[in-house]
Amino acid sequence: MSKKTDLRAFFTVLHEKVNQKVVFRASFRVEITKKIIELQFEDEDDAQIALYSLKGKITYSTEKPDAVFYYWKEDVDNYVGKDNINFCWYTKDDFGELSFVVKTGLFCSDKVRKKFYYCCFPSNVPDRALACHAMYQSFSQWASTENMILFHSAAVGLNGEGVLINGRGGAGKTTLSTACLIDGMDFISDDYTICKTVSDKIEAYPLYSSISLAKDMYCKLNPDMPIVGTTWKNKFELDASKYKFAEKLIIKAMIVPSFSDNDNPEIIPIDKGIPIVRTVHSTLIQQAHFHDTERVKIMSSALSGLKAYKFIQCKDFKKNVNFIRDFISKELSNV
Amino acid sequence: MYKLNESKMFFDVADGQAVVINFVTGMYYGTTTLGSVILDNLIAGKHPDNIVRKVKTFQGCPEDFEQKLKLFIDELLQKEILIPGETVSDETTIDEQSVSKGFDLTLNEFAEVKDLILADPVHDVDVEKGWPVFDKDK
Repeated sequence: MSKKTDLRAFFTVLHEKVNQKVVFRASFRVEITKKIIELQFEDEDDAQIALYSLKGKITYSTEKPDAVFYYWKEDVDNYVGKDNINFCWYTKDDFGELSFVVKTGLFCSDKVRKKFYYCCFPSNVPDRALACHAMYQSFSQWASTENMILFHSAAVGLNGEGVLINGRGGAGKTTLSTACLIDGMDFISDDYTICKTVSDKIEAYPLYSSISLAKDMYCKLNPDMPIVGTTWKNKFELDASKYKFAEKLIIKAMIVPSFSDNDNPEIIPIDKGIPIVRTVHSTLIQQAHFHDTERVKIMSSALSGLKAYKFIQCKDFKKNVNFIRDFISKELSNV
Repeated sequence: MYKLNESKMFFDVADGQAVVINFVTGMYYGTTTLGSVILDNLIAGKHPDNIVRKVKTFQGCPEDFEQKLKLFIDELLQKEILIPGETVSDETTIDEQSVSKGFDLTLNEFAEVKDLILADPVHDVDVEKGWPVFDKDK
């Protein structure tokens, strides 16, 4: 029986080809949970766009980076063959993982070398890789090599303890979390949160200093955040780096927000399966980790110890924020 | 009649789409619009006879729908998504919207199966041929 290849062989070829063909003209470094990540871009304008969302994490450390991300635009069939670009696929082994998304690009995670590649089709406009939460697929792959998870979830809190705000796109995560940030609560994220399980507790860390907010909500909340662009979902990309982000939150619960025309907000306990399914499902889909049962198990397990609540917001943002603040400080303090 | 196997499964329906996660194996499942609302009703303890009775009131319902539902339930039991539970006599929550996309009751492993993995373009390659040749014989 002939021996089959593995991702070690693929990454060797990929690395050689990229070194020969691609000139990375711009780079910067970020520090995430005390790890240094260097991001390299073929295009200087692309680097500038990514900088907006990672501004709060920039480091000028000269130490050897713990990981390197590469981003460039090229026809992906140069790396995976013309036969393999008409359907989405995902594969992994001990050496790393690959995801291919039709008309978007190829995401590669070389676990051994800690190099993460994103080859994007030149025709991929708008550029989802850089829109507001830049390179989240690469950060997700990197996080998994560090025994961390990048959840599709917002996170806010008080005095170092907080909640994950779960839900699919349009559920109100960003509106609620941004209102909390403006009001001075501890803030980690509006959309993507890095989580680490330490002794049965979930620690949440910030990654981005940008927020992606629906235009109508921007007008209602009126945050002191410059608009730096528009996302492919027609939301405003906002530079939130003027605000102080929390360094870490211990997560005590998950809340699933919804909107209502009620005069007052309300919070009710729900089955934890609901936010777990929504978070796991939306995280997998957003990050193109199709069919990764290992990741499903890890994410489900991480969240299964948390209590879950449905948060029915009212029309008044201030009331919603005050309610969440009271809930975290009083109800969750004994959890 | 049935309930969710909570020792292994998490379940949610959002925007008319049911997702079930087996947190022991990491597999997750999705189904059609009608399948989602039927699964929701089964987990709530509604009797399959009531489900059949309701669905048959809608135009276009296939004659063998009762058989299709039985096969659907058998698969849910076989995958340990459902286990025996108490029956409730409440009316089902099935309405015309539930059948707006047809009467199919397919259970899909992994919720988003519109893009199927047809091959593994990496590991299916003979190492002597090298990369990136895709072995067409596979």
